[in-house]
Amino acid sequence: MKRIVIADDSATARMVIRRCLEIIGLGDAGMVEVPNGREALARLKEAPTDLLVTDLNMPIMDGETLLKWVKGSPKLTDVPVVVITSAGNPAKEALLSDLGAFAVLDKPISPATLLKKLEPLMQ
Amino acid sequence: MSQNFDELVRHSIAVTLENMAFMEVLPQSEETETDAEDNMSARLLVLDPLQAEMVLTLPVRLLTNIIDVVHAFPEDDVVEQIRSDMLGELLNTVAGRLLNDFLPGNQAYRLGLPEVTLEQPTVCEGPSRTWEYDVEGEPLALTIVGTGFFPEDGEPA
Repeated sequence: MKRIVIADDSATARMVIRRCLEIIGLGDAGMVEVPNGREALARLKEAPTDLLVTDLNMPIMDGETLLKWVKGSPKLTDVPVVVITSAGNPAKEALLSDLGAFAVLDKPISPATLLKKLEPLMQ
Repeated sequence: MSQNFDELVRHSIAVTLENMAFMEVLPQSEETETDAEDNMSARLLVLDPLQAEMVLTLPVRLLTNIIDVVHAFPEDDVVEQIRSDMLGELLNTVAGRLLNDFLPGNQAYRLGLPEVTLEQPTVCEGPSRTWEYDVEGEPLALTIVGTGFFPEDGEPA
């Protein structure tokens, strides 16, 4: 992967995600960090992106809205979206999957759980 | 007090700190007591489907150690800036994990935004319970207040 966008309003959460991505072997990818969905959309339109990792609860534009925009855009619809949230449950996970999320993970994430979900994209 | 609920609380804190900062959570020992003036706290409201408040309190020293691990030893001025963010994210993650484990499988929930303070925060009235642990030789406490978790005499629902 060459470019990954990480969207979370917490700098700490973004750092945890970045470190997990580095640990599972994606450290060479260019990582773009943004604090909300609107900025994520702007950065996604700047350059081809191989993966979007987003929080669910963010100000300005939340992760669910961001997912809808990405999957509704012909230019962005193929970008795999991983949603990481502290407010997940099976019903929410099913909804996000229906909206096109590649994977939904509960916080706190670990490199092992992230690797398990991303392995198909890394092959 | 339900031993099962105690374990849910311990597990939510242990998983959060182990995954985020590779730190082990142990039962509190007397040696881990600290001066309240050295502490920081974050509080968070649980809005739905039950009403409660959670308060996470730990020494600034421990918070700085966690930041050093997560952010790979940032400069001191950066540490100052991200203390609140780190503490809020810790509590947010603990609360989410606890509610995921506590509520029935398909039940959604809604949390407020964490508020961070250097003083012991004023919390909602109601039955409460505090759990104390030892992390890297420092104390960490989680207090849960409200009838959502403890409808009668502090017993978990």
